Amino acid sequence: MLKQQQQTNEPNMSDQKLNDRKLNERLSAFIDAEQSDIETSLIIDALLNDSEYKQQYIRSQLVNDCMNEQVSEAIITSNDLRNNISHALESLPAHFSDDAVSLQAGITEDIANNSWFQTLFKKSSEHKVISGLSVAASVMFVTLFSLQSLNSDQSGQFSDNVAATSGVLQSQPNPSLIQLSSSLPASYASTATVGSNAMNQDKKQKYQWIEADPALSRQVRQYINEHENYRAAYNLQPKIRTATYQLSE
Amino acid sequence: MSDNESQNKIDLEIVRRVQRGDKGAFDLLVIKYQHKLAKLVLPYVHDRDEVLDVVQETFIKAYKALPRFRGDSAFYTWLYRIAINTSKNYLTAQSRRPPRSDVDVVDAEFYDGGSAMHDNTTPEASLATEQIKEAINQVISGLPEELKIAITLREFEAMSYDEIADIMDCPVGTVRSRIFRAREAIDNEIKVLL
Repeated sequence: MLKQQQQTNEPNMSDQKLNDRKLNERLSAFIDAEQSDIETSLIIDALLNDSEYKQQYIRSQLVNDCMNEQVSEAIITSNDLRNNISHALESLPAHFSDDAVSLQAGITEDIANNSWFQTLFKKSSEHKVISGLSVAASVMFVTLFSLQSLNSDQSGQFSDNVAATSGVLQSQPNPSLIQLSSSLPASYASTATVGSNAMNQDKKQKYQWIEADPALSRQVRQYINEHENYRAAYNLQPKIRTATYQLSE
Repeated sequence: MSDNESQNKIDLEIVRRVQRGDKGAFDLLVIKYQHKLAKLVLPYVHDRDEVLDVVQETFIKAYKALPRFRGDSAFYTWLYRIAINTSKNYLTAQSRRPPRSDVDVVDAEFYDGGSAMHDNTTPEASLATEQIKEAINQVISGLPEELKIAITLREFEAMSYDEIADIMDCPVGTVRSRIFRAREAIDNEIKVLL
């Protein structure tokens, strides 16, 4: 009967519903850990950004626990556990481990080219939030470039301004190490001269690219990579490339 | 790759995100393991509120310790170890003895401590659990044969999609689709109850 219903309904389904079904099928595979590698990151992204999708996951996980006799009666009637944990975590700092468990390297590089990723986030009810994040990040980087010019003769204060501008960087208080700029390979970063139009030749020689803290560099790059993925999902305008450096005289 | 290894791979991806500052991702681990941990700590504690307290404390300890988790062991093994230690510490704080039969972390996944607390659960809780189980069974029994076989082999026999595809003599993609359709039917029923 179910099959007959589906056969009847499917031709009339809108594209959105078909997409939703595909997403839900991927979630089902995710619960069984039978999803592909590339789907792992994408599904987790969707779960973190789409509350409806997350609710579906919660129900599916409950059914899975029930069928495996793993369901706890104490928890099934309590809506407080997750709220309490979430509330408790609010007072704890976010982790920024330099040695985060590494796996599935290369997945994020593929995300921007994956059409399913775009579909996924178009479906998300948090579309506007993500777009806003992308715009905010873009504005942040433009601000950073502006600050670079404005403060080119105040190298001591420059990095502090950068940290104050960026909420992301504030959470890792190490302001003397960070700056974002146009793309430079790491090998070049140690020797290249900053090419600001505002600087005269004498000042240019004062500011040298030197290597920043590698861990912090990785962290910033990861943030930018994620930003780049969102950008790609919405066909936002052009790339923001990064390198880290420390100003020194 | 075994089911446990595949599940661990997902866990590590989520852990990696939490380690890199995404607190929200930790909630996915809570959703996945809250019931399993509650079952695990049952032999140590006496009532529903204590279960919730110990499980909550376990997750918070795990979050705090997450920067030190390197993935040397499976995440769930690491989490279960924290849960057992938290339970024992809880008992010590209450000046109570641990249960006679200790739960080994390796066996914890398969441990059924449910009967230990039956007298202490509320009638509402038992009713809710029974209603969900009954709804699931009813939906499964009403499914078309191919969906019923697929979901049964997956959930009750813990077979991989490849194994199910072999048995049902169909592509893996078809198995994936059938299991999803079975789950979709179950979800439509469960949604009403929750």
